[in-house]
Amino acid sequence: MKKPRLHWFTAILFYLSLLAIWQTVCASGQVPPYLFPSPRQVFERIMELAHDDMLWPAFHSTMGRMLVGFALSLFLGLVAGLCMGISPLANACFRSLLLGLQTLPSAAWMPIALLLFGLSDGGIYFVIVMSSVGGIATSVADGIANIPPIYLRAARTLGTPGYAMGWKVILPAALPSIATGVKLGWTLGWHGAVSAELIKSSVGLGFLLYMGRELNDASQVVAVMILTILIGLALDRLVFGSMEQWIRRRWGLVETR
Amino acid sequence: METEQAAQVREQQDRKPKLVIRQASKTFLSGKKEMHALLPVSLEIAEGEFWILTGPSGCGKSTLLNMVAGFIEPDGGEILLDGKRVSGPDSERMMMFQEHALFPWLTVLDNVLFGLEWKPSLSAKERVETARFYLDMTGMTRFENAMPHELSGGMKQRVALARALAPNPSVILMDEPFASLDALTRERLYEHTQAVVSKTKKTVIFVTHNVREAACLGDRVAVFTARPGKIKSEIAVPLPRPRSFYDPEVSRYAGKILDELKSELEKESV
Repeated sequence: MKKPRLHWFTAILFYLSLLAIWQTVCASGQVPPYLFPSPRQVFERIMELAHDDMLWPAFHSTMGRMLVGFALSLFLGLVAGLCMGISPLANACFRSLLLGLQTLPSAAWMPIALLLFGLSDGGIYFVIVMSSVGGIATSVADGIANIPPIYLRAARTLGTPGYAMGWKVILPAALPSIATGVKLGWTLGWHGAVSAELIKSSVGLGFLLYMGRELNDASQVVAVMILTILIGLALDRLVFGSMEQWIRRRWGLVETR
Repeated sequence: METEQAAQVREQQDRKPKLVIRQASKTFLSGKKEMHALLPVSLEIAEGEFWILTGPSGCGKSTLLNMVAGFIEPDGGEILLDGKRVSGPDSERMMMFQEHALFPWLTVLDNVLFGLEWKPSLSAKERVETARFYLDMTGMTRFENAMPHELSGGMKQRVALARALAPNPSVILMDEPFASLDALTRERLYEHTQAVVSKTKKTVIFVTHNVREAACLGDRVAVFTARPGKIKSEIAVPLPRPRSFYDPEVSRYAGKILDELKSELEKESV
């Protein structure tokens, strides 16, 4: 197994050279540091933010909002996707609607969220749900539509009553695609949460980003952007990515040997 | 007097066939034309008999099997199991497919337990005991905690057989279950199938293209005509069991079945 290690090595090298180029450009003095901060400035700003106890509350509140909004979105997306996967009628009605809603950027949901929910966290939950529910629902629906019919036939000849088909057969058979949908939904929801916080909130990663711009503090802007990327990436890889991988391996969809 | 009568009644019931297919037919629309998938077919299958359905491709033998399973509703005629008209799939009439159709998200044991879950009369302990009993019968006990994708093709079909047997169906319907396996595995599975069927005394309907397989496994063989299909002839194979795939008597019967089939295959190629 030489390949994965080589990939890691190459990736680390890639990021190190990226940092080196960034540092060189800043050190050359061609760009003003208040517009384009150096990696060192950014790193120092992250440490300052952490020291001033700004990071943890921001992370905490963004994650808290994500948990509520994403749970809501997951529930709605699973129900809608299940209905669409089972009933062609529901699919015909909802699919175009969800695809249409998905063309709206997350931030475009903010004005209506402000009108509907004022300055409460409800508006942020609303944006998270609207950003991610379509992706989850369509993945679930596609997953169900693509279940090999043989599983359904086998379940029926084994005497599975109609009421148990959803829970015992359709859901597990579609679980690999559902996991992909959940992963996608988390990413879309994360976009929504941070975008919403940019516009209205007094705490959170999006708010820190906004504050950086208000204070003309480019290093804070870049620092928070990098943190947002890292947190999103870590959750995607560690939580949702490994969940998806585990399911795919258990279902026999990837070669294990 | 009364006991004699009762004995007579019982004898009549005994003689009553397990499964009756009466003038069952199926048509489908091809463009605007109505095509016959299956002309009216009648069969009487006694309890414990191993029936083979064979014939050219598209003769409707699989259609008939799917009608018995309840996946397809016949357009005409009826199918009776123990005198009751069948409708819809049920574990009384258990289908085994060409692909193993094991659920990839369940272990071998949980796959076999799946059909037992819908039997409310069994306790959890009895279910596991039943599942293990049939896994033992098909020689798969050692693999009860394996996932289906970890098994070879032949092992998967053995698990599928255990899963089909576990809910104690009246009739087992097999749709070319060994067709996608290699020859060696297939021959081992003929032994397994014969052993299991004679032990459980199940009624079986088995669809195949393979005349040797038909002669090796079947008590009776129904040969279908080319499309539109109907039953051309019924051949009894009164050989003792267990039969070897290479038994010369099996070959002789295979030849007989092939002769019946040949004229139909020629018709098909015209």
